[in-house]
Amino acid sequence: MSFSIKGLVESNFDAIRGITEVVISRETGAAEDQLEMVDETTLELIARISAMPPHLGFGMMALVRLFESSALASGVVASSLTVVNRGILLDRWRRAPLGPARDFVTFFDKMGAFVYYSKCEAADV
Amino acid sequence: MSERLYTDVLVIGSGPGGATTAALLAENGFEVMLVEEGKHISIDDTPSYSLEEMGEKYRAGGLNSSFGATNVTMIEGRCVGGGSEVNAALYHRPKESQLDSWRREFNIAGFELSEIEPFFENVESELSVSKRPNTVGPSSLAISKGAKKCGWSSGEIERFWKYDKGEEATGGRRQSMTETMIPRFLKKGGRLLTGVRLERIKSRGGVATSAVGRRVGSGGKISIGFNVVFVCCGAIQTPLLLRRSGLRNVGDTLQMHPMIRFAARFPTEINDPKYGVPVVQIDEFKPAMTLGGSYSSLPHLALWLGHSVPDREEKLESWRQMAVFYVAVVSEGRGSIRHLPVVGEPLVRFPVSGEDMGALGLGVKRMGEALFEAGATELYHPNTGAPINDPRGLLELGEGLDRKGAAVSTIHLFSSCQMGERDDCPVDSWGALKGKVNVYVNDASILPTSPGVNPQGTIMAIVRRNVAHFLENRISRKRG
Repeated sequence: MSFSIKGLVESNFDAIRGITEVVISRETGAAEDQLEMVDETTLELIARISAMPPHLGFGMMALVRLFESSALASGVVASSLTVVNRGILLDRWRRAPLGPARDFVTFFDKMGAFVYYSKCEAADV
Repeated sequence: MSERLYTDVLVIGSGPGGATTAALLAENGFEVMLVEEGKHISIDDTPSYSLEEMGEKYRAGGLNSSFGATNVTMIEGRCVGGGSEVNAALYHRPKESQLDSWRREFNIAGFELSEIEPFFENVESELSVSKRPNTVGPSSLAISKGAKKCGWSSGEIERFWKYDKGEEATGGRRQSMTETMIPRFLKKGGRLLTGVRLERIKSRGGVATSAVGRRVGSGGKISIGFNVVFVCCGAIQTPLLLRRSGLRNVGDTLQMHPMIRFAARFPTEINDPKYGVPVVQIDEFKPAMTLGGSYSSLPHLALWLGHSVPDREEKLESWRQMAVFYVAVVSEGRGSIRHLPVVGEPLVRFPVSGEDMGALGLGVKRMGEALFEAGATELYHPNTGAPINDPRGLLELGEGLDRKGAAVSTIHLFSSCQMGERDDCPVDSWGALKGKVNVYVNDASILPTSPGVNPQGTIMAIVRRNVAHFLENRISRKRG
């Protein structure tokens, strides 16, 4: 028996979009100008996470939820922070002592950049 | 209600092992059904090394991982043709000493060099193994130049690639399984069934009778009866299927070539993606270590250029001055594959050792030295992305690569179901599964250990050899 985590991943669109926005803003300096690309990249990353083996995908989604809630001390979820402050939070996770937290950030850094530039090439931007 | 099919010979998996097995059997008059979990996609349908290709042809979109002190991203094909549709198509014969070592240590019958060499020759001629005409391309030239200045041997590696007369070095056609063995198989009336994941082989005592599984997508059950089955699902999926079928002596000897990639910058343009993956490797440290170049389109550079590289956006604007390079090492580690119930996927563990991290760091240092000699102005640390502007900055890498932040991956997986007459080998010298009269394994999983080189050529030669033996025995049994 095997199953898909697609529904779970899609229901976390805002959280994943928030992280993607940070990654793209580092590529372009101005994510506001790239809203369409942020959404396209997010949808592609959602497809990629959904295609992971379930035991990896569930782990990734647990980390997405954890990241989202890691800003609650400031009264909001991470996706509601400004891009700059979300970036600061992501940098903290990048330096975290726990391997899974660092791997989580590495995934978005690398795959986010790869997907973004792939989409740009396809759109001939 | 289960869909029930029947065939004389069932081949599970259509990568280099399965496609070759199926084609050769069909050409020798057998009724063969070849079952593949993935889709049948032409090499022209998706751009090579693209995001689209990853989604269509790679297992888990290229995002699968083994677990251990350092997780390793495992890249496997999941489409008709398997890894041959997405790899760099590099062809090597392993060293004669490696083949001899396998013969002796694993007690493999019929494995003298004179007996195996003809099969390598078959692979080379039938799959048009050749070098690029005229030129190897700019980043390959940079690797050659750097190696020469360091006093190290390097050379152009041949590929499974066919060039028509007069064709340019950037042309030609990959000789993947969908271009070669699959058409041969279909021409001889072979039946290709795609989008089917077979999960278990049922047996009555020592005789396997059918394979059961599901249609991908709909989940509809399917059962395929057979007289003989060849399991050719690759180094991860083959032992998974066998373990799910009740075998316990497989899946504890997985080996791989851990790999690290990093980017380097040159003062002039050296990157032309029309040349694909660079064809020059530094041979000096083989078989323990291979140094070479990777596909370096802008998205790939963005992936491998560390996030914290200063002036990253500016650097990527002049991406043709940069390229991605790699270090691949032979690991002494032995991984395991286990079935995860409910999830239905394998749990893969692989111990990337301190020695492996040491070798990877040393490899980056060496490759860095060669690239600086070739004129590189900056390298980017594979873990941190920090720029390194001269060879002295490489010294610490000689101590080894830190696990923290290391993005280790592999595209070469093998040896999870080793062949030989030793008691601990699950299959015999010819790929026959011990304890069953009609089950054979014929893919990367039967390689005894690392071939020390890109493995596809070795896999295909051994697969051909095993099919030849099967055919000889069938014919002599019929005559008897």
